[in-house]
Amino acid sequence: MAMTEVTIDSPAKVAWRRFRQHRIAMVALAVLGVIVILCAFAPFFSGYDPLGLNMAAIRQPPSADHWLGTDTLGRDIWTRTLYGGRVSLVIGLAAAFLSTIIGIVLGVISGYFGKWADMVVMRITDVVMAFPPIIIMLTVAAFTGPGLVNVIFIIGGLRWPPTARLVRGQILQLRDQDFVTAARTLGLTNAIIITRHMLPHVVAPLVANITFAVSLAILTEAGLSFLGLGVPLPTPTWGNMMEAARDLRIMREEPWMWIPPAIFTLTTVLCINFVGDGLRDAFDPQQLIGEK
Amino acid sequence: MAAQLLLSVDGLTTSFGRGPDKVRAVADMSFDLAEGEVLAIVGESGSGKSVTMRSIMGIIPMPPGVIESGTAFFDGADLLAIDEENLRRLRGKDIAMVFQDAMTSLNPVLTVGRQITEVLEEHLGMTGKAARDRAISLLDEVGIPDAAHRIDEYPHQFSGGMRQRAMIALAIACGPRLLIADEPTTALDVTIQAQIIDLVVGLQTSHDMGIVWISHDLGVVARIAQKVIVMYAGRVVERATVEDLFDAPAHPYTIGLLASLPRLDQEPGEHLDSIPGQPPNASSLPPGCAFAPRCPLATETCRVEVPPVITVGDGHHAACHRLDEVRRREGRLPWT
Amino acid sequence: MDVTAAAAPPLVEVRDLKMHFPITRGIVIQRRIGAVKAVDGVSFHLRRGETLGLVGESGSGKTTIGRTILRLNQPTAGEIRIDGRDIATAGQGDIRRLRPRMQMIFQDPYASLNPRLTVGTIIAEAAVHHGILKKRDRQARVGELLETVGLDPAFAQRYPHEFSGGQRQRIGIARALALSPDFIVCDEPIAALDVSIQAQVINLLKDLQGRLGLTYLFIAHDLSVVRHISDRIAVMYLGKIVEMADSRTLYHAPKHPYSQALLSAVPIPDPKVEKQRHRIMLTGDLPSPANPPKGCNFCTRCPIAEEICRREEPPLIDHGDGHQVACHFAKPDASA
Repeated sequence: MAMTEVTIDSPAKVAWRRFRQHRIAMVALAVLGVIVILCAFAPFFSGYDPLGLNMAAIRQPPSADHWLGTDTLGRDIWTRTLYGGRVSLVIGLAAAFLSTIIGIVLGVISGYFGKWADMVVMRITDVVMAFPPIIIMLTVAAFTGPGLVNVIFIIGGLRWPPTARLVRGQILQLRDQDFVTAARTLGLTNAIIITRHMLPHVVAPLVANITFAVSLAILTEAGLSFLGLGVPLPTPTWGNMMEAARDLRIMREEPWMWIPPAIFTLTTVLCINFVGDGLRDAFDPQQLIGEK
Repeated sequence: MAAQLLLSVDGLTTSFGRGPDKVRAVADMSFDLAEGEVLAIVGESGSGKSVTMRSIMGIIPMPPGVIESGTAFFDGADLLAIDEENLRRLRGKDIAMVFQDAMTSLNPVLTVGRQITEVLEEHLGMTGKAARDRAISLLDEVGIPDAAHRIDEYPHQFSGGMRQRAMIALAIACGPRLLIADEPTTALDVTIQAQIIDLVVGLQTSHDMGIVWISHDLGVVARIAQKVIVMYAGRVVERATVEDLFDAPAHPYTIGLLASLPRLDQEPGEHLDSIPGQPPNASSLPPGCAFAPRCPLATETCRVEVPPVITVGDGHHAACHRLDEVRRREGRLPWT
Repeated sequence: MDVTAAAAPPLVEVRDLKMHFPITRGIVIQRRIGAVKAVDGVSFHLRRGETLGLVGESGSGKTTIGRTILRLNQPTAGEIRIDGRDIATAGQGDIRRLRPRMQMIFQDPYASLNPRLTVGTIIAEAAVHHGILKKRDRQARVGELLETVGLDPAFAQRYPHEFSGGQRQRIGIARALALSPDFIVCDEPIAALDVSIQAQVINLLKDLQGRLGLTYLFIAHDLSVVRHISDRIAVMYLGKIVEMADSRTLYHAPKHPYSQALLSAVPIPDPKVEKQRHRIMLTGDLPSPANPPKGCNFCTRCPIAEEICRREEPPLIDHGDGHQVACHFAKPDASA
């Protein structure tokens, strides 16, 4: 059979090609890469101990020895920012991962099985969403006490409703698609239908959602730590470093103590959101699967 | 001929996109329509039949659409050259359009009556009770029962067939001289389709409109058209009166299409003749005749050279290199 | 009772099938306020190797029948037996194990193939899952199936979006064939295809039936196509079968006024025939299946309806040779 040139493009490949054309997202991805490398390999980029006190050099402005100055206990700000980034990023990723998993499971149950399962899940979702998140987080944090793992569970355990709703909506749409009906007529099990024939289609909107969840979790951690309910000192996080700004004198006269973590937080969150935008466009099913 | 020329299209070429992604949807399309004449443009999806009329009406999205060349004279004005304001004044008044999907072409948040009176106000300056009475009589004319009451209903309260009727009422509201019908019965069931066709045929006679009817259904075309244009891959492949086209089709594509249609008035044979292969992809057309890859008579010439439009008879033209061979075989082609 | 039942038991037996979809109101506490009677008491059977055409307009319930027989819906009442096995009340696990025997071909070739899987996976997945196909034979079997439906075996590596509608429909057919079914529900398999491709797919389905001894329930709204593939035809109106006969009888001597109107509404691609045809015009639209008329379902549109029709529902009566009609005024074959 005569054939024109054959290009075999899997949907993922097409999406990557389209993502690369998204210039802002590509730049954001690069910046994000730099931040992640700096934080992950912090010891290579700083000679100081993030917890190492130095009473001889407290409250020092940026200098050749301390690039970004030191804090009230003489700890190197640059070093603490990098090490703090590790904690913040871990919290962001872990909390987003947790909330996404919960969201997917509940969303699938609700959307695929419908009926009373849908009712129960959606009512729980409504209840969780009805509370102002920061208040419930403060309350829970007050009970469980501060701590890395607790913060992850608090954020992950309360941020899943939007994901669950998104997944449910997608699954509901997919459930009536002919190719899903076809999978049923082929006698495939519910587990296969869900994992092979439905969830891959949810990935596109979900990927963008996950990135936003990561940035939201980073911000939430910062907020909790700022209020002293996040990860306890002396472990640095971007959030509890910014807490220093609660001291009016530091805020006004020693801005090097809080500006670096603030800039890192801002840049990271912005970049993640840009990447999320790019991913959303790249996975846009209309253009990915669409005709022609 | 006494009939005046109503619409005269010459050399229309429309493409979408630019650079290497450019797709030519309509190439060098020409046709004439006399006053009160019904012309059908037939083709499969992607053949350019809708794009042709949408280009003329100025309703293709630009960009990505580009009208590269051509003229379309209506009433002394070139529709492809006049400004948006003048075109808008013609649209809805002298030229009206009916679409396949009435649900999306009627505004869901306005009552059917309001949509008609709006057009009457805009183009004819009718207002108040006069406009409303006219709208009721229009709905009545297109066969909507109890028009005086149904005028205040919303499109979603109408059934599919009734919506199509309402859209036709809207189209004929200002007494257009040209009605463009873009597959108006495709989404309807056959019994409803028969009603709508009857309605349009009746209106055509009573209003003396010229109609361009776009369709993929040769049965419908046989029923309503006087002249037919067959399009394939953006080009006219055959143009004839309806009798000539069905009696003595000249182009292999037309011949194949007619042979592949099961007919209700004939005993079914074991197999339907079918045109082999797939419809062409507009983004990768062959250099010569677009039908060549599927044509049983195709030669090397067909594959490299776009066939010229050749006169077969009075008002009967076909774009094919192999017309002599078709004639020699008396229209019986060796389909595999 | 059926006279042919003695010869060989039918492969598919449907008795008094009802599929009512509840209409509910309220979000937290749902109350049932009515039901859409999509299928309301339908009985028929299919012999092995036979094709039963199921025709009707949108809203007639023909698609719901196909889906309910395959237990994509849980029927409200009635019996479904395929090869003697009860389908209507079987548990989910049993149904899953029975599925390879009964397959479906869908209307929309764009929506019915998972865009993220390769053609090879789409075709082989279920056969591997059911243990019909061993992983190491997968490639060979997929190639063989692709050839069976007239496609290049190399297509197995590609994704659905690279194919035209007709090619995709062939892929969908290959997917159904992969499980070596006895019975296939063809749900308007050519309605979404281009005219020149329809004949190809019809011919393919007929070939496959001859080669593999398949039994089809062929659902369609296009009467001229159904005739080409069906041995017998059932005409549906508003959830019920109004007439059922062998194809020849149904096309030459339809007895139900709805069948007659439906046949006369189908346009014939020949202008000379079209000009002389007598058409039975139905007025109005299909009533809502949530609120069907009293008496005969068709009485609101029937040209010959009388008092009794609005009062009493006509039963489906056999007028000889398996020609069943549900009309108070259908006369038994006096001439035949």
